[in-house]
Amino acid sequence: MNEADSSRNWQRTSPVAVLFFLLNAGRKLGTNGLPAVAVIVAAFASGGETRKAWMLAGLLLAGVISVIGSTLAWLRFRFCIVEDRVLVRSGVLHREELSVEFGRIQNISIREPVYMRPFGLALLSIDTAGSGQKEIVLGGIRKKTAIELRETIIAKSDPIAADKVVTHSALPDKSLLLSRSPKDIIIYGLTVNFVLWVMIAVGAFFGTPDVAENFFSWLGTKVQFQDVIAAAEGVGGLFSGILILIGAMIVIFLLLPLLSVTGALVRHYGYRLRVDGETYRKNSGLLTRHDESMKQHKIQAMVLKQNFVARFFKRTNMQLRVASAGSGIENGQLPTGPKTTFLVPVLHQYELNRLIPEFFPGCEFGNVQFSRINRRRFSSVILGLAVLPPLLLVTGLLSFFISWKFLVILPVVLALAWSVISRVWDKIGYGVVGGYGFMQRGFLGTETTIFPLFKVQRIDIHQTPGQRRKKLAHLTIHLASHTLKIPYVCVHDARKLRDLSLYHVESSNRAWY
Amino acid sequence: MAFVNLQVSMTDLPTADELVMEPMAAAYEREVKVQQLIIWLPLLILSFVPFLLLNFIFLLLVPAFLLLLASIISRLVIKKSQVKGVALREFDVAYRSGLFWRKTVIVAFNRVQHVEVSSGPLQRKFGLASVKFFTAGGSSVDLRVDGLTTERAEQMRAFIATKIDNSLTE
Repeated sequence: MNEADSSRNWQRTSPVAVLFFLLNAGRKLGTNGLPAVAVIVAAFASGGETRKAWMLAGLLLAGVISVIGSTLAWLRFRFCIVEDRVLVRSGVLHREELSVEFGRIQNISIREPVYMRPFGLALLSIDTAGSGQKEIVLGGIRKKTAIELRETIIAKSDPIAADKVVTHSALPDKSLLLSRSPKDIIIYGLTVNFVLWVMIAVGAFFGTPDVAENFFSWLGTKVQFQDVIAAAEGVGGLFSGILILIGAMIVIFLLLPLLSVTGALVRHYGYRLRVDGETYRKNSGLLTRHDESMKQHKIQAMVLKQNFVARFFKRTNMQLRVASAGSGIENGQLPTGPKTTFLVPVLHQYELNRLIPEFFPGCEFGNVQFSRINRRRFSSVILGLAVLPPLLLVTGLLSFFISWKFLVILPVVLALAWSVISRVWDKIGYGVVGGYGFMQRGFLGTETTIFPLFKVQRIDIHQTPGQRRKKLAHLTIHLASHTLKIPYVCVHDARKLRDLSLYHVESSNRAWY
Repeated sequence: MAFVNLQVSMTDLPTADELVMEPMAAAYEREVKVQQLIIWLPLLILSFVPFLLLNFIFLLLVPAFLLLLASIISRLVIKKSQVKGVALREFDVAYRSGLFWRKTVIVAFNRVQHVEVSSGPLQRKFGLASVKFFTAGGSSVDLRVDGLTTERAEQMRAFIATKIDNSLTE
């Protein structure tokens, strides 16, 4: 092993990376030990002078230890590029060596955090697919090196495209696919589902190293909290309490879009999407510059999202999803992490028409005719199992114990539920055009998923006894990026879709990853 | 369903419905029975304890009720093991399971990441093994075929291994 070692060119990252390790450790502490930190802070506040002194000393010690630890981590962290793979050695106490083949790499992104910019340094993160693989982050290498490294990896992971990649260097402007003005980004900030945005912010805080976003989301929660607490302490009484609550709600509702827009600007300011051969590359960010790249053949699915705000602006957000190591999330829910989705924000219809065939050649989105699922079964099962039992229970109890007048609730709620369910039913659709499958759903907005049939990983057909009688089924389509479920499909359609997907999967020699 | 611009005619498509599912090994049913026995027997014995301690005759209802429950559940479990079926095709494997809630899973070989053969102590006693298929989508184990003889499980794995290799070299 030593012989091989000497021939390999093991490299260290820049000393600034100590800061990177320190921040990482801090974030880990924040994620795992938040309650402990809270307890310590509380103890500190309530303690006497001597205790405070001790605790300060302890804090200092902890600080020194973490600086030493980060320095050691930096010293231990070495990486090396061999012909077709990246090797990484790391760990102070628990040492590990990672080896990632270029061909397995899903996503390479370069970030320039604020504290690295003055030194001309960058952060290169390499995301891989496959079970148990980890993400590799090379923090604190020269920006030039990072870009070169990315070029090498992209070139070597696909020998055919190699010569194409080398020629671009100056990035001619004809390769520019899309750029977004600050106005577009502001609209994007508004169209992002607020709740979702907060979730992403929280996720970013706990998961991905995105200092700026973290800061703003942290600021947001801080401000609201203090407002509410201070106000509540200032005035007593139930009535004023309610008033304050409503006021706080309004503040939050006004603040959230503001927060969302700020976050969007910080993250996506100056968005530019370029194409270079088979590689897409996007640049964005106000404080931390993000430079992400993705290969066309890595796209597993395209999700077009248009919620009611986006509909008002007549825009659609596009997400390109790649395979992810931890994509075991059922129900087609989020893997909304920045690593598994490649965002193309707030597209006009004409941009959509231009970009869909760009990412999915030969995909005729305009020609798709969505088939419906079985309405009666869908509605009656949801009404009968999810709405009716709790509704009957509540109205029953209310009318029995308080007044029979509460029975009025019954038809009102039922009518409301019925219209909601009808709307949801109306939005669910599926179809196939050429080699692509389409699935649509939504309530106020619409979410459409487009996937190449040959990239399907597995298809399940599920039938309950009742469905067997009615010739219906639940269809589950597992993609490498996420899972789609279509309930109450005509069983013949389900089988057709399955057989067609299998036909594409099995007759195609193209690699899915 | 609206299919436009089809590359193949729908009727010519090989369909997975006409597959003849092969039932599981005969030993599998025996294994399931023993499994049920292992689960229920200790419970049954325990259920006599209240009667032995307090000596009220009506406490015998406890074991009687448990026996009824055990016989119903184990009958269903055994039935369930009987309806399971697996079918290998040239390019994929299909697995059907479920007594009431019927589920059919098909995994194409060129989407299989790896295959695992496993057998627990009880399975080994009966010369049985399970084959697990892993793909990149969805939950961790995508397809788990129980109740194969060790020999067949190995055969299946070897067969699929060649298929995966083929698809990778292309």
